[in-house]
Amino acid sequence: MSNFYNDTLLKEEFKLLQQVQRDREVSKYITISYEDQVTGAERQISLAPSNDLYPEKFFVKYRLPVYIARGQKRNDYEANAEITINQEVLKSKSSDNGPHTVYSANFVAFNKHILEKNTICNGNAWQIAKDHGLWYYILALGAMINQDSIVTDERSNSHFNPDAGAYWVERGRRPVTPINWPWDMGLRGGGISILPTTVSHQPSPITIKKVDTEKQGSVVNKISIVKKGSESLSNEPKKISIIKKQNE
Amino acid sequence: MSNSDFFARQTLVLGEEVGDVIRNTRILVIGVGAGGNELLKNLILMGFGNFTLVDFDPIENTNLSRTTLFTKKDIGKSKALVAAERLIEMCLHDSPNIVGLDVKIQDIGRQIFINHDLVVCCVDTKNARVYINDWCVRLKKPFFEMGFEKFVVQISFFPNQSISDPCLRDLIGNTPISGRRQSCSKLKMFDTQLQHIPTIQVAAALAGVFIATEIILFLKGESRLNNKMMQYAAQYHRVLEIDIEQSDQCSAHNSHELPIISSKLNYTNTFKELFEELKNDQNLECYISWPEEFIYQVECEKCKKEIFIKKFKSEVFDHERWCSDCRWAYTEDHPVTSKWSINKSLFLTNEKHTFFLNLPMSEFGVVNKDIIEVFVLNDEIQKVLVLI
Repeated sequence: MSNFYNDTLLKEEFKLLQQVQRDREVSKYITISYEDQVTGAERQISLAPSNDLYPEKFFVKYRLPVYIARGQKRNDYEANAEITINQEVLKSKSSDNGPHTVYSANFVAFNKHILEKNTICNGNAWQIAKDHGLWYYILALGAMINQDSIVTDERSNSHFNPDAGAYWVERGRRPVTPINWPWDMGLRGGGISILPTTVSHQPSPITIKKVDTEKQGSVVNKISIVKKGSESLSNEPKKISIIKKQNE
Repeated sequence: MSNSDFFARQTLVLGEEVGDVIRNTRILVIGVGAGGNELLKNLILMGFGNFTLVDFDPIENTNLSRTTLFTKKDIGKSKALVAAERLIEMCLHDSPNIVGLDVKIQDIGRQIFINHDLVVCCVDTKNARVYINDWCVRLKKPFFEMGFEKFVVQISFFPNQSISDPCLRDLIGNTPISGRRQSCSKLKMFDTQLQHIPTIQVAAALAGVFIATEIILFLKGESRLNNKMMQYAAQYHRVLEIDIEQSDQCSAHNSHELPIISSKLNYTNTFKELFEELKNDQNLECYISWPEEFIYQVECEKCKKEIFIKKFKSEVFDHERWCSDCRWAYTEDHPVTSKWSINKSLFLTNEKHTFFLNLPMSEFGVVNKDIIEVFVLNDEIQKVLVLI
């Protein structure tokens, strides 16, 4: 009997988080661990979970320089995000319902998305992450603390701290630290295959591949979804092409 | 007058044997609005007499133009109770057993599904439809489903007898079904507004006729709608029939053909006691994994007083983060700043779960005559259903 949620969705998310953690740039600023479901112990993301039960609760430690006021930067900011995911978040990544997040930090950063020491607007992070999943959300929270424009650039600069928003604009909308976040990680290595582990009837595997993006030039990205129809009358795979304009 | 006299002409069509099946079939009808009324009227006249009717709505003015079982004097009364009363009056069955329950289907013990042979869903919300579907899949109950809007009627039938059978989720998609929430950790803002669906009596009547016919055909072993959806556009007399196929990702099918275990415990016992019983009696190491977070308690965003929520996340409104004394201070854009006590899973071996393991199961919404889906560690069977 297959448990699609654990054996496929949670496992896939776990593997992606291991990949994020291995990224050299990310590992300088972010440490990801998780709560082992069976024992309750906190474990590094590089270690496999007990009984192949993939985790639903993650602990993410951010170490990033932040501003605490105009012209005053501190390098010892530490924040912890305790993130819990559930079936709905993973089954429908485009869902507005993001992962439950408990945030805590050692002091208040001067950042328009931060209200107090323990409150960050993680909703904004999920808004950009929801089609990608948890790994992207974890990066987006880091980018939010770092004031990268991907999560900071909005029409309204007020939010929780209007003064911090105005200062960010004055600074030229630049991040606190120039960090090369691996936003394209999900597309590296030829894509991800989702295959249920054991089902009594024939599954239809779907492979999502990104085709030669660099050769497409800078105008479009082309993604091909090839569905191998197991009971298709012809042996030709069904092919759907999605042309996605950049900078949309 | 004997029972056979009532059905002499029907027997010419269906035969004696099917007549006996009709008399003994127990049907659970959820939703006793326009479609439910029409369906029940047809079934009761054909000799069915064992029903449980579930509906938590009262009868409103607007119902009367589409409901054959209700009259003006019933306005404000429970749909389920009035319909049960009316059906008993109309019943041609010699020993009817008709019960009306003025409750929400999600709030009663799920063993109600076991106690019936067929389940018919005549509700108008996606949440209830999916909930009923999932329990019919788990318990292998034949499930008939209806819906209608304007002149268009849509019915489907899922026998749920084989692991490869599709279900309603394969028709409506595996989209989130919980109430609308914020993208951050706040709670849901509002339920999807239940609007008055534009309907007309003839559509309800057609839905009632189609489902009643399909039930008869199913009992005769001649079902035409197995794992299909049929749509009938009455304004054009046009029929569309679609075969439904099972999706690999359908969560309901992960719970098909589960072993069913009877527990000696009830809802006042704890999950710790349940896991210990399953270990001792069945040699199964079990755990619970909720589909979403169970919120036990939150601190009031203003005065920090403890507020006991005891509901799953999608059932809780955002304003419930404020205690009743501070509710006036609620604003939509207030982020979460106070502490919550939440739980997503229960493992005997996880010390962080000790508090929740020692709570009565009723605190998690388990009720009398309920069924709990329990996961199994280190075993080929990954889940079992436990009757409480």
